[in-house]
Order: sequence, then structure tokens, then C-alpha cells
Amino acid sequence: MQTINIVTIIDVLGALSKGSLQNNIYMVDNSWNSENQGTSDLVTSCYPGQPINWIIHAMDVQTPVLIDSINFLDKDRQYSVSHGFDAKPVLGTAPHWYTWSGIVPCYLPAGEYRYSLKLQMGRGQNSIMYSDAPALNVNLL
Amino acid sequence: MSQQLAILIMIDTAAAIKAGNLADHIYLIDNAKWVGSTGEATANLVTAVDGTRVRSQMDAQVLNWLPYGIGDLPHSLPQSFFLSPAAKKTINATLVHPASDPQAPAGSAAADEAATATASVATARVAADEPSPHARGAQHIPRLEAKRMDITGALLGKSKAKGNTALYTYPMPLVTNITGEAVDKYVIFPAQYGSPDLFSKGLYWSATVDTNKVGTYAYTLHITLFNPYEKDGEVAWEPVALTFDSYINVTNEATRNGFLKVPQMLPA
Repeated sequence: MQTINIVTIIDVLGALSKGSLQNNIYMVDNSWNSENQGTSDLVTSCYPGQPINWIIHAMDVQTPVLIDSINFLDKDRQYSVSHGFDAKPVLGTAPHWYTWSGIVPCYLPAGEYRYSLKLQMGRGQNSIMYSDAPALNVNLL
Repeated sequence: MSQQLAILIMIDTAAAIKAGNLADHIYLIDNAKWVGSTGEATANLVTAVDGTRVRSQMDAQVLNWLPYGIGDLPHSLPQSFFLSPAAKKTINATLVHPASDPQAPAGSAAADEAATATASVATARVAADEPSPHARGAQHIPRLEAKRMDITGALLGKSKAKGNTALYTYPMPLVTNITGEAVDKYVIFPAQYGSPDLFSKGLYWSATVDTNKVGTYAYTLHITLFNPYEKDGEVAWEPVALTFDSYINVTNEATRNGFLKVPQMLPA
């Protein structure tokens, strides 16, 4: 099955100036039927068993941003442990290349699964921001 | 001088090639939203440029276009990551250890990966280009091939990818020219530059803006995508040239920057 890339673009200067990711985060993917492309509310269509990569880029090459963690949320937008497909940084095939990647579990019922992106922009106070808006939409095969 | 503007061109390469147009599979994002750009992360971006500024060349607004394939590997990976094992071996043999025997195993990366089918094919090809030991002083560097890999960056051998070119990760989209109204009317002056930038293999398109010309102007991006197909049992890349119109809006607002709460003229 084709791997899906979910690419997040952050306007780091905008986010740090305003102290908020609102209007400074843009998400796109290369899935076939995703909704809200180009917004913070991207809903990525995927199938059970499909691999997903999360890639992040800063708008300005001089302002790095990293994904600190990815957590799936339950209905109350609390961190959930029940889905069991929290992304982990896995070792790529090249030395020193770590990427955020995960596989949609085969046993997962169809539906929308919201997740939280924890982003780190440099160091210091207010360098960590969250977005709880994106989701995966798991379809039945 | 105000901040240089980046215009990110995000393209779903596979979908755009299939559709034969970019309109539904391109997302443009710039970092001038706070100045008033509209249509961020859609195909209808209008990049806002504050026009009124101290009249000097130093002050010109600069635009940079950075194309991305959504399905690409992260561009922040070192450029050597994208080279074929044979190309790495060539670099080792010609540049890193020019005195060593070209037949000896080169870098560890090349040696590790040399076992795959792709590598043996590619090695044979590069070997023909490789300079003789006597020609080393002439600094002849053969053409370096890109690695054929899947979306995780793993080397794809011929047998694994046979009959399924969709497995290959697409090469990055290239901007090949910028034309159109804004160029014809001398509003923007685009050119391709080389830099140690990680994007686009060190080449990128940039333009300065004549901010006297207030108004909305269209420009045409000429973009080349690469479509994999099998030819004589090997993967080849067919270039697919597409164009796309985007816009800049030059206003007579005063230049602002992040340090100033209210717009104001910077001291001359």
C-alpha cells in the first residue's frame, strides 16, 4: 500500500511573534480523498494497514521546527492510549535520519481519529506549541 | 529592508501528472500573510507586497520560490543521501581519496549498498564515465546519478520495483522559468540562482520587485514534474512540463517589519 506523506508547513516567525499556531500552520497530504487541504484541520483519508509519514518544514529555512511528539486524542480531546497507533520516531534506512512514521492498525474501526501535534521551534519559553486540529479518516478497505 | 519572502509551492506530484494540470494539486504558501496575502495554502495565492519604501536598491523586495513535492523525502536530508551508491563511490574515488585505487571499495555506504541489482547496473554505467587514473589532475567529474528509492528512502532494486513504478519516490518538482504579465511589465525581475541552499539541489528562482508598480499582476510558473516509466527493464523519468498562474499584489502601504508595531518609513 502506498505510503501517505502528511506535510506540515509552519510560519515560525508568525507563530513565535503571535505566540500561537493559529493561521500559521498549513497541512497538506498526498492521499486521494483528504479534506481541508492546506488548513490546520487536515483530515487525511487512509486505510487500515497504510503507512503514514509526518514531515515538517519551516516557511523560512533559517527558522527550524521539529515534531516533538504525535498523540492521538479521544472524544474529550484527552490523550488516548486506546488506539495504540501513536507515532514513534523510527530509524530510517540512512544513518542519522529519523522520521515520524506510523501504520494504521488493521483492527481499527473506520472513523475519524484526531491527533495532537506537539511542535518545537528553537528553545526557551513558548517554543513549544500544539495543534489538536488534524485527524486521520480511516476508511474500510 | 523588509524580510525576504518565501513562496512555497507544494505539489501532489503523482496526482498532478495523472490529471495533466496543476490547478487542483498545487498549494502555494507565503510568509506575507500578516502583510495581507490571501489564498494561503490554496491554488489562488495572491502575495502581498508593501510598496512604499525608501527608494534604494538595498530596499527592493525579494521573492523566492521553493517547490516541494508532497510525497518527497524531506529536503533537509543531506544532498549526498539522494545520490546513487555508484555516484557516492565516484565522489569518493575522484574527490575524497583521489590517490586511491578506483577498483578498491570506496565509502562504507557505497560498499554496503553495492550488492543490490540497481547498484550493479548503475556502477557499470558510471564506470564507463570514470576518468582514467592519469586524468585525475584534470578534475573530470562524471555525471552523478540520483538514487532510485522508495518513499522511505530505501534503495529500490530492479526486481522489487518491476512492473510497479508507483513505488518510486518522485524527483522534486523543478521551476524552469517564470514569465507572464508581471515579468512583461517589469514588475518582477526573476532569475535562477545557485546557492548552498538545501532546496532544489542548490538552484532556486528568485525575483526582485519594482514596488513602484502598484497593482495586482499575474505571473506564470513553469514547472517540470517527472513521471516514472519502465524502459528496457529500467526505470526512466519522463519530464512533464506544466504551467500555473499566480499573482502578486503590490500596494502603496508603507513597509513594515516585525520590530515596528505601526507601519513607518525606515530611516534612509
